[in-house]
Amino acid sequence: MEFLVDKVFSLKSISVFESLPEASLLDVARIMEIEEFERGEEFIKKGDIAEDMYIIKSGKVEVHHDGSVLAVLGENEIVGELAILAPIRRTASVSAITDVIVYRIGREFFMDLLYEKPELMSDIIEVLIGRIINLNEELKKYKSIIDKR
Amino acid sequence: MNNSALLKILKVESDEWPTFAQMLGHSFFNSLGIAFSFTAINVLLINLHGIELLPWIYLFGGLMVLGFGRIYAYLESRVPSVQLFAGVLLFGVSWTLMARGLTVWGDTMLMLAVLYALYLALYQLINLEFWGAAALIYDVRQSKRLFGLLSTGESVAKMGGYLATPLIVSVFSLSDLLFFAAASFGISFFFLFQLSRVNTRALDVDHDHHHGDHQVFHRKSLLAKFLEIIPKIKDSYLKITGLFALFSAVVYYLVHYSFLNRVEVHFDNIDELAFFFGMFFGIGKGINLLIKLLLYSRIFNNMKIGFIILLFPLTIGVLALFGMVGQFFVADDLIFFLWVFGFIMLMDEVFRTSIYLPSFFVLFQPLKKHQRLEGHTIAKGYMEPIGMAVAGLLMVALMWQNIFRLNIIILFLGVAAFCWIGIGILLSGKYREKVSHLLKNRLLTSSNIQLTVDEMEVLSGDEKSTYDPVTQLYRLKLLGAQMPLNERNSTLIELLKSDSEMILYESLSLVDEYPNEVFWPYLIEMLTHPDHLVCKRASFVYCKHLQEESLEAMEGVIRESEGSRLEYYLAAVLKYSGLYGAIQYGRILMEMIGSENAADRKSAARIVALIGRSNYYHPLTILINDSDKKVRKEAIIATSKVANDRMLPLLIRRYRETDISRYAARAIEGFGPVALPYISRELNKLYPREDLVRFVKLIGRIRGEESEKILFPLITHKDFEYRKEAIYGAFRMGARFADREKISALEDVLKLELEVFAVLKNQIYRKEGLFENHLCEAFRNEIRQIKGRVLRILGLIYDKHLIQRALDNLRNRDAFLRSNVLEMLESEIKMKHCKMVIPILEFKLSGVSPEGNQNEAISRTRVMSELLDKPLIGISDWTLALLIRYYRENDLSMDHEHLKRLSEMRSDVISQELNN
Repeated sequence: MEFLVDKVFSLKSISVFESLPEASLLDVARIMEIEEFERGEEFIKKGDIAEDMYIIKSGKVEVHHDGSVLAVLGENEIVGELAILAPIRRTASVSAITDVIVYRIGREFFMDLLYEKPELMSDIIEVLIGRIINLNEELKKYKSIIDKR
Repeated sequence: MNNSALLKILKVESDEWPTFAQMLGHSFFNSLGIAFSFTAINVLLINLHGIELLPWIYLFGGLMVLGFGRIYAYLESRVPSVQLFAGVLLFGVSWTLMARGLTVWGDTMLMLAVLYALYLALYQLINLEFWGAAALIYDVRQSKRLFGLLSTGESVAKMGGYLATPLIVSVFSLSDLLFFAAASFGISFFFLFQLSRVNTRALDVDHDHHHGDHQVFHRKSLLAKFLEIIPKIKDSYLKITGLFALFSAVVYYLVHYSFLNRVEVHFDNIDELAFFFGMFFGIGKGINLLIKLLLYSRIFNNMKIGFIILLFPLTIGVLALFGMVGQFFVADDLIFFLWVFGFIMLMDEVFRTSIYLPSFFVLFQPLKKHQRLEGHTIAKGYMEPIGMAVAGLLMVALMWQNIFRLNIIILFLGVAAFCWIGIGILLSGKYREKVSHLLKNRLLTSSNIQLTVDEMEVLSGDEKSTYDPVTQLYRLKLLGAQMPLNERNSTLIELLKSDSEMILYESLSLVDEYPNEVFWPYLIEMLTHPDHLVCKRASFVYCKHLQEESLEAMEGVIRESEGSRLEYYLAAVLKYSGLYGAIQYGRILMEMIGSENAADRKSAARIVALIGRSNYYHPLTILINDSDKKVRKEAIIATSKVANDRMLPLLIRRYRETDISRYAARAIEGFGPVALPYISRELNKLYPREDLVRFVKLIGRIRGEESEKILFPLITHKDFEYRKEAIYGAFRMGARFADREKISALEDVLKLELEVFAVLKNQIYRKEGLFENHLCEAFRNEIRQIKGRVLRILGLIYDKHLIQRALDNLRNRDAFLRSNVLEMLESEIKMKHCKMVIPILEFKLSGVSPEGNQNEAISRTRVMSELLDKPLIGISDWTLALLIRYYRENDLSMDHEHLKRLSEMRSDVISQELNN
């Protein structure tokens, strides 16, 4: 059996969640499901509408696009983080290169949770706004470098 | 006593100490310089020329000080604050040297008068400098806590200075006293330098706010510049604080003169005068110091600022009244007035700097930085000198009329004191308004947007001739009922010809409101409009008004359509086209419900939703149990539109399915209070705890008195999660529990929150806490949650909007704004509630312990008893689960009773940790 406390600690490794209080993540942990994929199984297909996000619990996966491998991901790494926030299209496929166990969080479940826990929603909005602010700062920095040139 | 204990007593936080100590030193040496200068100039005046000169000095000195105030304000907006403050101290040194020169090289009446007036200016400037720096460094909450303490430097210095004066004068000479004053200002400069290094950012003021003012000042003629001395105050709050300061000054100078007048009669040599001044003011400052140390924090903790500012004026008012009435009952009124004015002067020495001035300066602290300085300048730089001049003018006028007697002065003093009290009462109310107003309001909602009378006139008058479709649309919406039929129809037809979807969509609702056959051809065209919303509204408006006659036109479009358009058409005819339409098209709907294709069944659910009639509930009883999740979801959405009570048990069952509960919740909410008995029944069933908590949450989403009745007992429920959801729900719906019994129950919950807060705070301050990241984060998060909860509990006792504003603004990054929130709460809510919530709200989650996390006595194992021995548990499952894990990982044994209580909580995360 996987403990909720450990699931929460795993969630802390996701950038959207890293600055959220652990107690708020307990509800997210409750909607996490364990799923297993066999070696070679393609569990994300490029072009599909993303419905779920995965946290790799054990094993390795490869992210590939038109035959070339873009990345190899392992334990505690995330696949499709933004899928839980918006129904975007998958930009690459993902296959298991070993037997893999993942935590899956479905967008529908997550949206239900946000509806039930508006405070979690506002925490996430704060995180996203923080990211926008940081990106703006980065842009300003690059702009000033370009202007100097 | 160690340093941390001293800080605790003084209520100074450890990170505030370095700046506080420097401010204290700065205040001490400023005041020492002033005490020596004050004694010297008064002794010189009385000894060399007599008290009769004083009213003239007040009159002209007042104008001179006003000029200095103006120059200070001018420089304040141009020169960096630290340079300006340093300039003031330099002026202090220059003045003492000038005065020393006067004593050595002889004097004239004019020179002494000028020197006295310059002393008055110096006194104002030193005040402006010190309180200006304090205003920039501290926020409103710190000011309330620290301003009184800061001025203890002043009390100690003046007490020491006054008491040392007789000794200095007897050992050295009166003129040497001025050297001591110069040295004091010099040392004060050193403290200012230290302060500026540590608080560079705080002392930096945005000068842009004043730029317009300078330019105007520069361009004006000499006369206009002179007239600029008279202040123009735009802000009404600053005007009232200014008036309050004006009367304070009038009172002070009337008392000051009358006191010196009596003293002059009794003492006639320089040593006796110096001894008397030293002892009198020394004793006054001693009492003043005792009040600051013993009473100051009690007064500020137990009274609102609006009342504290009235304490001193009320004391003076009562004493003046005593003097006014008492003179008629004594034989020797000169002795009587010596005592009365002596006592009033003593009270002034005791209360003015201990209670009155710190509370007066707090009045400016909620304002923005530049306004704070402006407020100080207006009060001390403008109004005090004007008050001084007014007092001087009054006395000169009385001399001129030959009625310059103390029994007349006490009458004026009484009148001034009562005006002062009246303005104080007004100011107290304004302060509350100002603090509230300074916080940013929440975003406007559409309900706030209303047309003004002028806009209505424009729409109904000259705008008739315009062909702007938006204007015409508004004309029809607002004035359509009063318009002649022909004009209304022709205007609407013009709108129905528009290319804009928005205009067409809005015009269709006007057609619905004012139906007429002239519109039908346009509506038939719109049935196939490319925009879905226009097409949908056109179908419904057309079928609604033509009923069975609509079938002919609808038949054609139904035959050629599919997808969502087909859904609109079918829903419109089934809803409005009578029996014939129902027979003809009901069959298609039934086929869709029975279809093997899930997309058809989903469409059927949407059609039922569009029809939205309660007699259409039967198809939904089938679709809500569909095997396809998306069909179930659509059926649930449709249920809220159909609104038939018989669907509620089915919906509530679906609510427990996590993947579609959001839609079920919305549908149940749509039923309103009708759903409450059904939901309440579920609360008594043996569902998992998480499900039951969600039902509490659902009740909180349904507004109404019935929900409030169900939620109130849950606010005091033994289960923490129930309580939490009930508090949030009741606050969201704007519930208010005003009767005494309910308020008392809410106060009990507040007390529990405060107790849990105290336990958690101590745990965070535990030495090892620094190394237990997860646990410490959990404790901090608990406190964060407690902050939100206590505010919401207050929202159930007081106005929700007030608390909502506090909640919104407490998230702001600006510390000054956050401190204003606490000040607003303290102004608006009862002190007993303040004492329960303010310590929690003021707790800095990122701060460090005042003991520096060295408190080893706080055992981690004690926390379980402290949290679980209470009748109600006040902490989340998560933190308890982490504590259980902490026990396990550190091989700590848990009390049997605690284990029992934890296992009774029926929480998944706690059970997992217990069973591990």
